[in-house]
Amino acid sequence: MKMFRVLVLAVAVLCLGTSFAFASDAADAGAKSSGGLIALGAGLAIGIAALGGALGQGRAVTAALEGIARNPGASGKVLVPMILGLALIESLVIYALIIAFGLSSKV
Amino acid sequence: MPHGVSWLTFFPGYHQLEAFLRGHFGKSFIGHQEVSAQPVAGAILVFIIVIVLAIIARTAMKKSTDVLPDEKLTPRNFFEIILEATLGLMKDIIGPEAPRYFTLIAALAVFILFSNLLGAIPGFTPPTTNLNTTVACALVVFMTYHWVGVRKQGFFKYFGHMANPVGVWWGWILAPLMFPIEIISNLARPLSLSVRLMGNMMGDHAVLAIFLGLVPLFVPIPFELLGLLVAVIQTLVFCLLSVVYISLAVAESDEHGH
Repeated sequence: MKMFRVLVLAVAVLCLGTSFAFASDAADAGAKSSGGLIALGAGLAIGIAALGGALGQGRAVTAALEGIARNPGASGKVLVPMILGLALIESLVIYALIIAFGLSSKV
Repeated sequence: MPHGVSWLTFFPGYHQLEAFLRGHFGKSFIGHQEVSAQPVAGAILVFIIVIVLAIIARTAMKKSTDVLPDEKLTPRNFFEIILEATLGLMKDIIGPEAPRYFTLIAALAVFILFSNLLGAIPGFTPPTTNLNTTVACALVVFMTYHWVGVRKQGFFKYFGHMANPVGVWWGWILAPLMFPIEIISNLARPLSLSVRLMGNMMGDHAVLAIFLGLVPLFVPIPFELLGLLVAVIQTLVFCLLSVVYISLAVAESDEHGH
């Protein structure tokens, strides 16, 4: 299993390396050679942020649902802190979205 | 509607407003674009709506001081719901001194709620999609809670609490480490408040615009509902965080017992 992971990593590095080589050969009229990497950065920024945000929000909702399942009468009191926690976790994803917007405007 | 144009463009006086702003301010700070009068016109529209509704609610209150609420959704009912919820929230967090700061938080809540809800009407852009509006709200909260803290505890005690939060004598040794951390976290607060609100509103509006461009017929309805939900939740989060910051600035002397 570990060898498989090492192989996957090596293939990923090779792919990125070839994209480096192609980028430096780019001779389009008016296209910046770093445009591809900037776009890749923008996509990765929001992608990884959404991944982390979704995991965090999933844990928050899990805890809230368990609390409601134990004590259905407390659902009103659990709801407001849950919504607040979700909004705060989401705000970190929004920061990454802003960076992605900023990057994608520079492509 | 094309980018930068909304129903606000057809209001009387919009082009004079835009010419005035462009003459005064030049290009924008981020992105070097031409300044657009959309957020300012949107905010003015929100002011007009809120003031008209507030006048209606107030005259209704003066006419009959019934304890029973009205049956349907009138402006008086609506404001009673929002303001009672806000005051309850503040009393939970700040304690008995809550009514002192109620005016600011209630004004912020009503303004941000109506600004966000303006985006639910197709063709309007909410003024809170622009960083300027949200930074204005966040800066007001920032200056308020520092001013309130300094007024309550005195200048040196307030900043002494920032340098030495625990209050023990050996806390002062760590002060050169704690004070920059506290300053950075205090500076991050208005930044996070403003960017959170702006990002949520702009993201929702962008998603809605994309879906309206793709499939205008029935598919955007869940996104409209999501937009409404996010509008209310973001108002709640902004006001709750402002109230928490005020309570942190005000309650420092009671909590630590010195």
